[in-house]
Formats: sequence, C-alpha cells, structure tokens
Amino acid sequence: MTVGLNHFLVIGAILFVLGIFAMLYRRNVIAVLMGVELILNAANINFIAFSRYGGVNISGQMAAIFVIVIAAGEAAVALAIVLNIYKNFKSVNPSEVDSLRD
Amino acid sequence: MFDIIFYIFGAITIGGAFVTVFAKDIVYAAFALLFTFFGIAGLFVMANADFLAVTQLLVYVGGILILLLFGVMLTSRIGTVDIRVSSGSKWAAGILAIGLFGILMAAFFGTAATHTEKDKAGKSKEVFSWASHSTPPWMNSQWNKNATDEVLKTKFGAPDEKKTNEGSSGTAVEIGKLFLTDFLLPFEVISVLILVSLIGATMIARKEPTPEEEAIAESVS
Repeated sequence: MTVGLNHFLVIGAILFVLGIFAMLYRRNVIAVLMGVELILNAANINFIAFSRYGGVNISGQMAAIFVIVIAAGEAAVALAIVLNIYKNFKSVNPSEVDSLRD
Repeated sequence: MFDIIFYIFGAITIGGAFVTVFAKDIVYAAFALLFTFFGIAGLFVMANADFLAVTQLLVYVGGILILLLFGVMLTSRIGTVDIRVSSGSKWAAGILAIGLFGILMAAFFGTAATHTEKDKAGKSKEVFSWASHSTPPWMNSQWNKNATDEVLKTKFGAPDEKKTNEGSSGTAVEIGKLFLTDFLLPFEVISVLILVSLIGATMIARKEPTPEEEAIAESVS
C-alpha cells in the first residue's frame, strides 16, 4: 500500500489523540503543555499532508509556519505562568491550583 | 523506499509520543518529545516541505523543548513522589481519546478524497471533493505564481535569471515570496503577536522586587 494522504492523516490523528489524553490524564502542568505541543504538531502534519496531497499546495505550508510561530509564543507565556504558579502554590498539579489570589 | 522511510519516521514519531504521554518521569517525557519532533521533521521532508522541516527543528527542538526542559528543572522537586491519578479519570480520558480516534478514523476512511465529476464537455475527471465547492480565497489551490512574480518584478526589477535556480531551490523561495505578497498582513500581525508574547512572558516571569531592593534601586537613581 503506497503512502498517501491517509497515512499522514492517521499519524496526525494518533498524535492528536495522545495529546488530548496527556492533557486530561497527566497531573503535571508541564506534561499538559507537552500534550498541547503534540496537538499543535498533529495539526501541522495535517496541513503539510494536505499541502502535498490535497491540492492546497504551498498555502498549507504557510499555515503550518504560522502555527509553529504561535506555538513558540504559547510555550513562552505558558512557561512563565507555570513558574509563577509554582512560586505561589509550590505545586504544578493542575487540580491543586484552584484560586486566582492568595 | 519512500514507504519504508515514511514508516520509520512514523514509528519514531508515534513511539516518542507514547513515551511522552505515559512516562512517569517528566524528564523522560521531555526527551521522548525530542524524538517526536525529529520524526515530524522527517515526515515534513517526506511531504516536500523542506523549509518547514528546518523550521521545525530550529523552533521546536532548539526553542520550545529547551524551554520545556527549563520548566521541568525549575519546578520539579527531587525526591517527591509523583501524585498518581485516580483510575476513574484515567479511564474517562482513555475512553474519550479512543472514541475521538474512532471518529477521526471514520471521517478519514469514510470520506473519499477525490470523486469523479463530469466537466462541460461530458468527460469524467478526478477532482478533489472539497475543490468542487467554491474555494475560499485564502485556500486558493493554485496561488497565482505569475501574478506574484509580476508584482515582484515591478517593485524590485526583473530577477537575475541565472541566479534563480528553479527546481533545486525547494520551497524556501516560494515561501519567502508569499510572505511579502499574499501573506503580508498575517506576517505583520504574527510579528506583533510574538513581540507581545515575548514582553508578556518576561513581565509575568520576572521576580517582584522586595521593599529593600526597591529602596536600594531608589537610592542608586
């Protein structure tokens, strides 16, 4: 079976589902962030797959570049927030972080 | 050959993702994420996106992963036991993820990417299913390369034919042209966004000066 659009889509889907699972299951904010990165990468794989096989051509790659840039900004801001949460709560368990002020 | 390399990269990607999600030690998860990102860059190369593969390596492996590792090192306390989740939420998350996967698979394999359509002359031809609807302009399937080149020519003069080596230049040339023509507004907007997130991240993460430090700063200035 030659590799086609569906192969890329299946890999993207597996990454997406694993990312969702990590976001729901892990009890560490950093691991949840890793799940978010997996989801963004899954979206990127779909963009690239459609740009190669789906007739979208180079526009799909442009969209993927914007996704990468937004992921970089998201990671920076999220890490800053996580460090602040750790400073205030002495924990990175998302269920223990339940108030916005002291 | 193509297929074999594709499956190798796919296996690296998915294996790394599994370790990332299920590893108990968060540092192992971060290192497994490295393999996932490398595999994805390989998949990008398989799909003719060479510029994006390099960008993926630079931004994800060189930037985001290092940032995540910093986060791990700065927040994890050595010697503390990882809090195990209740099995209830584990099952709920697993069932949700598997259900989502099933829906996605049904959507992928239940949808034909192409279907035959009769054109005006009565000849049947293969068309993309989504292309038969009116394509939105931002998803223009054939971005007008000639028009873009024309705009560039009037603005910057005719390109040196000897230097532009079409075919071997990959996608970087076209992406560069698109950034300054069709995608100029998104490009500028995302530049502002990344600047704002940079300033915001430094503002959030910086230490609040203690009263003594503030007094010292006052006396110095």
